[in-house]
Amino acid sequence: MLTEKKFEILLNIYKSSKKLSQRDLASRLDCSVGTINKLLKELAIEEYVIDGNITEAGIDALAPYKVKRIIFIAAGVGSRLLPITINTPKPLIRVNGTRIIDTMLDAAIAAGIEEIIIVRGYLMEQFNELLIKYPNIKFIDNPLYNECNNISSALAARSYFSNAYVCDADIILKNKALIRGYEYKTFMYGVKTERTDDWCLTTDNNNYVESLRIGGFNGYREVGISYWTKEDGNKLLTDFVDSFNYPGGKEKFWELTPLEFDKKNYKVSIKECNHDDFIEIDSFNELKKIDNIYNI
Amino acid sequence: MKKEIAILMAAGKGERMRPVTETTPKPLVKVNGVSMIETVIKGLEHRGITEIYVVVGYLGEKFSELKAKYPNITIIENKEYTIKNNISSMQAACNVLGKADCFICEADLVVSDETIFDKELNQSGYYGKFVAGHSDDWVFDQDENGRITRIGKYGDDQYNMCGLCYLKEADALIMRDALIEAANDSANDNLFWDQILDRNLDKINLTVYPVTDEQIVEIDSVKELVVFDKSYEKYLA
Repeated sequence: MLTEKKFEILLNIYKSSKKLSQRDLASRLDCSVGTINKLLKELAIEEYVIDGNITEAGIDALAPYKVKRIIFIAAGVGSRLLPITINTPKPLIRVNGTRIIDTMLDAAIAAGIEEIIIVRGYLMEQFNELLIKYPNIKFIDNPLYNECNNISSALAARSYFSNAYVCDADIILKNKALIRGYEYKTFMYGVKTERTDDWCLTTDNNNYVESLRIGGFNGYREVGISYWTKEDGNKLLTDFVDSFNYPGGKEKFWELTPLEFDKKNYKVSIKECNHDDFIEIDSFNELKKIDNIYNI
Repeated sequence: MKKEIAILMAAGKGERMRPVTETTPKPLVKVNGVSMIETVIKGLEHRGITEIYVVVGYLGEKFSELKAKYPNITIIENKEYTIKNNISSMQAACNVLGKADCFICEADLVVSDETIFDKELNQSGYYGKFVAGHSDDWVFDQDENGRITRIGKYGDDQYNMCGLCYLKEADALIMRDALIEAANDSANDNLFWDQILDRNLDKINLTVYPVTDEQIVEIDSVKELVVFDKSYEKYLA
């Protein structure tokens, strides 16, 4: 069992095309060169790293943290983007010539994630077009998309939540490095905000999520990408069923199951990312601004 | 009744309907909840036609949804749709042209009256809409017996083309050979397939089957689309 810092050092060495100096590692992990030096010595004694290169044993040590799959929640109607979504579900809309969901799919494939799952509902048959470019996609159909909140999509895909990224399918990903082939812990990506009237995550002193609520100060704006370890995914398998069947449960966002309804069972970290790692399009007018072709 | 087939031309970029067609090929654009091409397919099925070929090009992968809903259609890919006019779609369908009596349909029509397919069609012909006065559109010159003598642009008090053509098996075979022949000369690349038919009017006896404006609706711009389906109004805002 690796510590998180050692995991990050090993992964950075493994995935880097050039040899990383201790200074490089220190800046990537946001800690001191002294710490890196000490941890590298330990990794050398464990024979995971020799002369700054990862060993076979080192690669084996990473194996338990390999990301098994990525799940896209793509069942929604996309009503904020009407009228373009009359004909096309939001993830399949082309922005400057590229389908929105392709930006995430390409990042997942580049990271070596083998299993791709799309939970679909509204205009579900249209997602078949993705099979031409991505023949390995597995579809899960959510027949309840119209009458329930997105917890119905999580429920439909609940047996896949372990070692899994779970993503909104309508994010245009700019920074592909956010999707990695290995992850250590359960986390959600968030963008630090001073003040927001959107959904907002607040954290405790250990950087674990304390609450998810609308509006707030000094929190993190949820971006719609999270990762769930094997242990947490297995808990969600049953917790989604309980929270869905609880009165009012069908109207909830799925994130509220681990963050509120069954909060005691989970420790969800926040990983900070930047405002410009993504483009979010929340209205037809925003789409017009980003892609001039929609202006008439 | 003798077996009939249909070829639907669905490869075009639908540029006049931008930006609706930016993510959706025009035949798949929904008008009041039903895509245009489905109104054509339903009309053909109403006539009992089950062998339907759809020639796709622009955003061709989008038609997999149609195939999922109508498993008996066959998708034909037109790989030349960006460099040639719609002659390329008919050339892509040459393998099936001439195997039976055949409808050739534009796929971006809204058929609002299926009974137009009930007509008894004893000879090859175009469906046509009569336009009083001058028309800048594609029209048919006819002789005193109603036989078409010219297919071309511009005319006065004539039947206008509306996107549906019917070819008897023997005439379809003549067209197949003419289309294959036309592929040898790149000067033909910018032609509409109808212009090849125009060159063969001495061999093919074509008549006009009249329809009205209300029976087949043609929608060529977002403005016209909004007239039929108010949910697109925001495009114009």
